[in-house]
Amino acid sequence: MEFFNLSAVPNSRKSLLDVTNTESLTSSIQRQDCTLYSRVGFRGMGAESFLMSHGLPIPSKPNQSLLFEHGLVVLRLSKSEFWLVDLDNTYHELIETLEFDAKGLEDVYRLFCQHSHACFLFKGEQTAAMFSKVCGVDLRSDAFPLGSVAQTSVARTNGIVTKQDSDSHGEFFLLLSDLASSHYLWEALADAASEFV
Amino acid sequence: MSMNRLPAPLGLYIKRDKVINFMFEGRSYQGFEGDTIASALIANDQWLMSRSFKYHRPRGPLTMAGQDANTLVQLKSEPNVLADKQLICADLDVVGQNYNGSLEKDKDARLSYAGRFMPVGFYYRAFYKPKGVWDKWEPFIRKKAGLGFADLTFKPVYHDKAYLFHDIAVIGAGPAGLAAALKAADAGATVLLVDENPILGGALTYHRFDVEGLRANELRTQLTEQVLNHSNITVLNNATCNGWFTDNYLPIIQGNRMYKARAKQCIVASGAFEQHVVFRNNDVPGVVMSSAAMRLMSHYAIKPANKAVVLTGNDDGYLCALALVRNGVQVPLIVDMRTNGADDSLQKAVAQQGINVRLNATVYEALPSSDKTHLSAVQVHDITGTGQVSAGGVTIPCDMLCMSAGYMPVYQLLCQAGAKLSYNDDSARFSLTNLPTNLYVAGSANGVHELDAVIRDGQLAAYKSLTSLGIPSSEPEAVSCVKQTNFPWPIFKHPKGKDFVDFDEDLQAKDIVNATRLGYRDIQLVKRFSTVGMGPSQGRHSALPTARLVAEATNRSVTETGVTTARPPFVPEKLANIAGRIFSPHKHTPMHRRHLELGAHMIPAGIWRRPAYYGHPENRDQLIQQEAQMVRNRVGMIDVSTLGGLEVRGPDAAEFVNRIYTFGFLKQPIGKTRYAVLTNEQGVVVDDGVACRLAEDHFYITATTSGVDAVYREMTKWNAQWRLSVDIANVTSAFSAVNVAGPLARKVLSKVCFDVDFSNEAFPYLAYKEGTIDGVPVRLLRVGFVGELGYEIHMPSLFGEGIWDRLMEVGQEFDMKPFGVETQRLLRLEKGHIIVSQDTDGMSHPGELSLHWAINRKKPFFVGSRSVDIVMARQQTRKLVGFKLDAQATRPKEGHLVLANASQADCAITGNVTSSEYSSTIGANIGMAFVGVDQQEVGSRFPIRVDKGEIVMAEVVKLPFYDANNARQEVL
Amino acid sequence: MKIMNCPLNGPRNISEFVYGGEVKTMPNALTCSDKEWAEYVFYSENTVRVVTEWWFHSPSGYWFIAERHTASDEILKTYDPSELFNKRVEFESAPASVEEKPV
Repeated sequence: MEFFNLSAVPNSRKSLLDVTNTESLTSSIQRQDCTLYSRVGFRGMGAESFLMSHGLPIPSKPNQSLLFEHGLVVLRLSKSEFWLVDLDNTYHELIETLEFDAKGLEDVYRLFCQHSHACFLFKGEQTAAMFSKVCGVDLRSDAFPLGSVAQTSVARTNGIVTKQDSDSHGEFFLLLSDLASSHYLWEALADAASEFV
Repeated sequence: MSMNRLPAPLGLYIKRDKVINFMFEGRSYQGFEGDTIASALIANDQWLMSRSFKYHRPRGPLTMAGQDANTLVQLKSEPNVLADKQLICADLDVVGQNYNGSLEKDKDARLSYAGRFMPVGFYYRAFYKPKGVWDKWEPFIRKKAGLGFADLTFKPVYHDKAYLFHDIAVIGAGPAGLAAALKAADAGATVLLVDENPILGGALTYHRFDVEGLRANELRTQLTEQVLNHSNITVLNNATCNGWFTDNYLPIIQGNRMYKARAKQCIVASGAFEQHVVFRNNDVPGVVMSSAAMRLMSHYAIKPANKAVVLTGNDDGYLCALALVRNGVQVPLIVDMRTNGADDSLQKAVAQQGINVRLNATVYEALPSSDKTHLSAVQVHDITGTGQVSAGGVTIPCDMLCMSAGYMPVYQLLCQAGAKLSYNDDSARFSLTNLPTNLYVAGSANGVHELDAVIRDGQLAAYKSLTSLGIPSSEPEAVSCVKQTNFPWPIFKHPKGKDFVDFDEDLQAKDIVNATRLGYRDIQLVKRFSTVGMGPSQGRHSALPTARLVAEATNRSVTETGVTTARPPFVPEKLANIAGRIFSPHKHTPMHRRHLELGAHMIPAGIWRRPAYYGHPENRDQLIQQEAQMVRNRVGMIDVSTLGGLEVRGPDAAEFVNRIYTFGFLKQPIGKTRYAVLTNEQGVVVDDGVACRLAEDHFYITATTSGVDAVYREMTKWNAQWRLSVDIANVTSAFSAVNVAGPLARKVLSKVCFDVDFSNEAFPYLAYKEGTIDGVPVRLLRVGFVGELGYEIHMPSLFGEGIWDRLMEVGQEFDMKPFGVETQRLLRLEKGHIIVSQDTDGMSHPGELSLHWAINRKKPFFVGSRSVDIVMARQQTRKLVGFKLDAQATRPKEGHLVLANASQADCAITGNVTSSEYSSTIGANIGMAFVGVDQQEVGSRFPIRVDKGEIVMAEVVKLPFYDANNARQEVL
Repeated sequence: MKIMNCPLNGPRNISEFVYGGEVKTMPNALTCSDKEWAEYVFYSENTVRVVTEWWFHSPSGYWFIAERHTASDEILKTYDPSELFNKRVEFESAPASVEEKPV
């Protein structure tokens, strides 16, 4: 069978949300739906060396993230699981190449996070305070420095949270969570954010 | 109306420049901002606030701290509000509770005289027979004994929750809590300081610690300033820590928000509840705790009485007397229950103020005014023995009696954490031991009452917490406090009763004693029988006298009898606080918007929202039959994105799938699908799906919507043991899917997917193929699903809506419309397909479900294989069969019972209906049901008991109901 | 709410975890007696002791093993299952036997 390419036709992707990408709310917390941007994940004992062979930086420990140039966030979710998230919508080619190159490699399994997960970006001083209303992990800066990753429950649905700092966004939180819960979570977080004016 | 207040600095809680008008019992009252309903009423000489629960006795505040139920009042949309906690605001409309007629003249107050006919346990004993009598009495009793009324038209108010994370949580901001917080914060820990009052200081805000009455305010000012300016301390005031849960998980309610605080260390400095004296009429308004009088003066600048008697068993009563005199209250007498009296300096100070002291005496009876609504005098008798008094006494006119019998630690949070409360019967002192790690107690909760010792005790707790955190700090010297505060037996039973132990429940001393005489020796049983401590104040004042009375009556010590279990919540909490925001997680498929646009009737399917059918629920039956006929005759499309999806990849993929599912999968050809049944280790069918083999080392397996997460967990758990070279991924959300079904399905697909040959030869039944639709890669499964020619199209989710739109567009030509999940259930029922967890239950093994064919018995192992062998070899008791009934017959519902025979009224139940629907294709009501093994013969009839006891006879039919040789789905 | 220390994710609220039953050694399903199999499937020693249990951290999809005292509910340690299970299990030849750690 032909290669089943999850990176295909990026322009045909449609978000489950009826919002424009950037939404101001009436909150000091800004948020952006990055679900349509490219991302990919790899798992397996060969995943780390595969990514390194493509010149990508790899966080040294599980539950850490790194920011590669131009807004590519590299998350290490376990000893052998890695996700790449393209925040500035500039890495589609690399991600597609990685998908092709991983095909047939022993112990490198491509993951489905492009389509299984929604990707939301939050920024603003009160973001950690907003998360404290819906998340049992302390995400304030003392407890959750840049590059931390928490795989946890956010508003009673599973999510992956990381914090990074980029030229284009400044300090931001990234939330990756079940795509099918997009609508619910977006609303729940809007409600949580609304007190921070 | 008078609003005389004492001069500043008294009145810590009120803002005198802000006058507020509110209504009580239909009359207008004035108070200041910061006043509670109770303080504002008392400032206007209105002491009577409610009527008691059982005898409708007049009641007024006892503690002025929300610790008693005497002040429960009714607001417009909220019952059972504590008048001494609820702040007044403009337009507040308050009425008393629990009276018949008016608060002042309650017609039910005569119940008080009926008291002797209503002994303890009265309701339990009087209304339990004859059978059914309670149903008659209940409405009447509820009306007489109820509390406030609920406003059923209320509108929900926004409530929410938030987590807090701190190194150390300090519960209570009295002197111990403030000192603990400061020491901990100075050492660098982050501290959460929680207090239920509007300002910090605890007892420092009202209690008098020295003869001059200067120390408390000085210390309070100094400590609170430091605390409020400390960057490491977060203060939550007007906040109640309402429970202690494992690992210092603390629910803290502040207004409409519940904080869920998680602290590495927790210091409980919750203080102590002042205790009352048990004597006749100790509930008359005007009989208060000394601390209540102190609070009225300090917090609200209210002169609480003109003439007050102090009844004490400790030195604090003397300090209260001094404070009263200082604020213009005449104190004719201190009645000291002790024989030795107070500390010399205090004796001298009260003598200087002209206050008489009577030692070894008590108030034996309080005398109410002629209208019964307030105290007019007390009768003082000498104490002649434990709980015994002299025959004669003197009557002292007064309008207030202040009681200082001692303190009980606020032990609730600590006991919830497993601490043991001990009481020394000789010294009348409490101690709390057996605290879990990372939890400490300090201050009067720890039995320390002398102010310097209290401060040091707080610092000591901080030191211990800091040490546990690994933060160095100086070690304070050990604390010892000899101050005696508890009088050992402040209980003076009166032959005429009304000597209340529990004000909430109107329980008198004899009620407790009688409970023990009826055989209830255990304190927990005394509680359940007498209801002592079950009222809103939860034993804050009744626990200790109850323990003492039970101990005495059963010849045990108080430590032996113990106190009843203190469970969360500490104070009543609203369900809204627990519920938080009104939201519950739910999932949408990528086509959700389209379903709404098409008028789908959306229903919950587990955590998902799915279209039941398209159209108005009024037309449900008709819509379902129309949608079904469309699929049977032309073509329809259903969103099946909620279907679970699992990817199994790697060299051992086939071996793994072969071990998990019942069928054989090692030799499954690439490009073919196979029905996959999952049994658990007990041999019960727990899930099913379709396994597609995409490559030698790659399977894509569907699972039920509700089961997929558990299946994924089981798969990964097994492989954590088996260590096969395989990767397992839950891709449920990554793929959305539709099923295009009906005789014209092939034509629809051929219009959009050009790289796949859909002919029956090239793409036969049960084949799997991949193709593209508008460049989107899709997985195509030819499955039976609803019993027609059908294709399941699985696409990456972000393309789901686009592909749906495209299919709808090309489907127009064939009149293709979407159908919903209820229609799908009917179509599948017609084909006799079981739905795992609807047509199966926790006992269903493959034999009962006629799934022998889906089990490979040649392979060495699959999960549950041994159990399946065992249960299938045994005599079976029931069988899942198809049944039908005339269209005119009452249609059974899911769950209706199948009976062994129709004639016998109490015959055995042999099974139950699992699915039932009317089928226009069959022209009958059809369904599936578990029946007894002797009822399974095709053509035989079995009884189903439907609603209202009606029995209908169903005929066993060979499955499937429709297209028995599968020509439509396979051959077409 | 209890906190459990996940070997992968650190200390978390217990609500993030799913209990997976006790770690048990499966008898050889082909050769054991019905009674032995029933003991394995249905019975658990309900006594005061340290139990070895499977726990699943739901947000990360991670199984691990915890040793817990049944009376105090104290979790003594948690670790990756590879510490107990490090050999490929076969069903054809030898019976599946897994050493339970002595506790």
